[in-house]
Amino acid sequence: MDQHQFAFIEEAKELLSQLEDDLLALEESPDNAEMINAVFRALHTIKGSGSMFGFEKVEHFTHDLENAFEKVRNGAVHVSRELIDLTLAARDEIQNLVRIAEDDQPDSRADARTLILQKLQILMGSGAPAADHAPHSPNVEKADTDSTMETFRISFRPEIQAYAHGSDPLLILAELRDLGELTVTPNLEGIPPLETLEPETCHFAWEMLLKTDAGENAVRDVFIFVGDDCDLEITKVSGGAENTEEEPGETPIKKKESSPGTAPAAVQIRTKNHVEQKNQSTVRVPSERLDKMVNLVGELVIAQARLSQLSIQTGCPEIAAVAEEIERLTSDMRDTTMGMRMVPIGSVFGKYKRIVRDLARDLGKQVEIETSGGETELDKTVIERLHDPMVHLIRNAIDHGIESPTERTAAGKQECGWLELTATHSGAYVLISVVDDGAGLDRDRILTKAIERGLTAPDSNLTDREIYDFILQPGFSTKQEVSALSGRGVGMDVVAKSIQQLGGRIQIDSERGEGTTITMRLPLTLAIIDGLQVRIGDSDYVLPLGVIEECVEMTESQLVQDRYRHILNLRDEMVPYISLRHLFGVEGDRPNHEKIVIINDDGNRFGIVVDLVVGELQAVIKPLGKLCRDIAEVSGATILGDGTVALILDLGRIFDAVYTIEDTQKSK
Amino acid sequence: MSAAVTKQDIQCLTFDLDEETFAVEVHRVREVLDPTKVTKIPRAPDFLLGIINVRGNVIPVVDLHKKLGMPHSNVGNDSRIVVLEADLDGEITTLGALADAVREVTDLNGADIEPAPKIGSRWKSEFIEGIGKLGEDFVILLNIDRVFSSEELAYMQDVSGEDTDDTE
Repeated sequence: MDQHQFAFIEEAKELLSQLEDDLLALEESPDNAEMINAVFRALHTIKGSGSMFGFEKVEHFTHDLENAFEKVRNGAVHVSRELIDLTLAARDEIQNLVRIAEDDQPDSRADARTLILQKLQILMGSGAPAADHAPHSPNVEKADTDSTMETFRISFRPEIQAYAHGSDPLLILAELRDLGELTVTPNLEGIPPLETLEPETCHFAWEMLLKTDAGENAVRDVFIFVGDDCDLEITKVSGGAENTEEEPGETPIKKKESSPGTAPAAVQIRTKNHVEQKNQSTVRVPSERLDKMVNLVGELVIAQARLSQLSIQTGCPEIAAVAEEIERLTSDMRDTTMGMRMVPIGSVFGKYKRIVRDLARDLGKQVEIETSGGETELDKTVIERLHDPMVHLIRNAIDHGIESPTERTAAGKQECGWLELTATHSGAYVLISVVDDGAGLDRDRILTKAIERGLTAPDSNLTDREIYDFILQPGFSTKQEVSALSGRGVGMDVVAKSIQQLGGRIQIDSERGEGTTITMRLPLTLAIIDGLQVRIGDSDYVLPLGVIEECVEMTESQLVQDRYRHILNLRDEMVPYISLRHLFGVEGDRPNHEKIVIINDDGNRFGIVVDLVVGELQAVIKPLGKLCRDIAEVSGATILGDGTVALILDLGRIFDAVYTIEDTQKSK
Repeated sequence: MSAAVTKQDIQCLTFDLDEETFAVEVHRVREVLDPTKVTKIPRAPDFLLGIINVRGNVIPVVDLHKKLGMPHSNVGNDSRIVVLEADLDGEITTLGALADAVREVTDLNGADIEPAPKIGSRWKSEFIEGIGKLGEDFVILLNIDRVFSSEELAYMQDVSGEDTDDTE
């Protein structure tokens, strides 16, 4: 497979996800001509580039689909639920075809595709769009429109750089000729004198008269790939243009609905190589290269840390100046590189819409989905690894959360359930919530089950949140029967574990009868963080800088001690503190002047007692590997300037660990 | 690793632990390092000495004495960290094993390798691939994968057990 074919596959994947979004939007507003056109354009582009790069199956299938959709576009068939169902199914088949081509697998879905086309055909009434398996020349556009002859005046001037961008105007003329009777008059006015003529630029223009029965859309589609890059004027000079009453099967198409200017998806293909173009703002880069780049920046950061340390040791001001400069540059470079890996989460929210729709239909429930904060950006890896947990939560919400329409009516709710996906920033974290307005969690049943399983004592006084957290335990289910949807081996414990591995946490809020909100709190990035280096005994640790409020000297007079809690009086505020020396069982004497780092982690304000605050650093997060994976207080490791390893602490978990222990002690 | 069955010669790295000679297949060994500063991990199982930096990668260092139930010995002049690749339940993991001394890379005669005796052995027989001979000396061929994966669950319980101890 060559590089262009890879590019096509990438392009097709994007187009397909766009197509899915458009189809879902079209379902919402079936009369939206813009959306119909958007769907059509996506199909057309997939077909066009598919044929260009030799993906014949993709081309043929999409072609048939496009023909069917032509009927929708010209208003002969209305958008219906069945149509969207079928088109979505067809979209999945295209995706399959692309995947097959990518992985070089045998194609086993030909029957499924034929079935979809047959169903579409029935839905479209007569007109047999699927029957057309003739070799695909461009004139097939007219296959399903039974319009009468019309004459168009076409004035076409390709942009000057047309050749450089790989388009050949003659092919377009040939394609037009296939549509009907074509008279071409070249317009040579723009051609400069020979001495100034650049042979690689295009100065031609053409005036054409086209007599065709293919309809205006077909004519415009010929130009779909040149889109904005040319001067194009198409006017109807005779035929059905003047009629005001609509004839069945031949609705006059309003010009604005199909103007080539609104074809961004199609145009994209051809603008890829426009290096000189001003509005060129994106470059497609394979993600492995980005990952490699991030690794390099990581090593650079480590090397820089070593340089800074050396410059302090030597005490030479010239070296110190350079070291500082390099520190600033690496920090900027790190931010820029990290920024390149950030992807808006909205790109995956779209996928979930489809899942919600299909699930709700399968379960006979009505669910409306709303998303907000789609522009919130997260590290690419985080988004990828978030997919399975998200799908599971959405499944849960629809399967167990949202009730059937009858139950909902009985409970005095609207028949249609409501599911919301939201994403918001909160410091160095992103909060992603799955909110439903379903039945909510059964607090008492969870508690009973937890006591049954010995997870808690019957007399323990737990908050609602602590009770809900039991559902994150492995094998915990209050559901008597296992449905086909849940119980596929992925439980809430797996969700919790995946989120944990991403350095995040799950929080569950629920109101019986009102619904459930599950919030995932995830770090912005998994690669490099700003940290504060502290020392306890002879070990160095790194605390994430994002949650640190301040560092204070610890004086005896500030300490308020009772039997279980260590409380610090910080400017007349009571702040609990945790001694890491004590928690980690570090041997040796406490230094005379310990420091307290004040943490504000997700609303929990507490202090961490350390021997020494070394200073800020950029910490390249290194995974600890399988052997150390289950040590909760540590979220990773980083390499310091002197080559030794420091642990990055997960302060939220340390807080949880300490206070759960103390709570259980108290309850004992 | 089916040394006892194939009877082929096995190229091994031999090293000492508590006056015994052990061997691991040489293709599992990435490198041998001088002891370096090991960063301890709080509340980790006791066989896990900590983590070290091997050219930008963080790898755990394991005390084989503890793993094999031998008395702990201190790091001496001859101590080395043998960096190995172990298959931990289907996942290739790089880890360092602290050895009292590293001897040599040598061929063990496959015909001489006997399966581990089920009884009378000081070590858990599932850790031992076989017992070979180098001259007059016995060499214990370790099954690295099993040393680190079989007790995974057990050690996780150990850790949670320690947790409850803390609270007492």
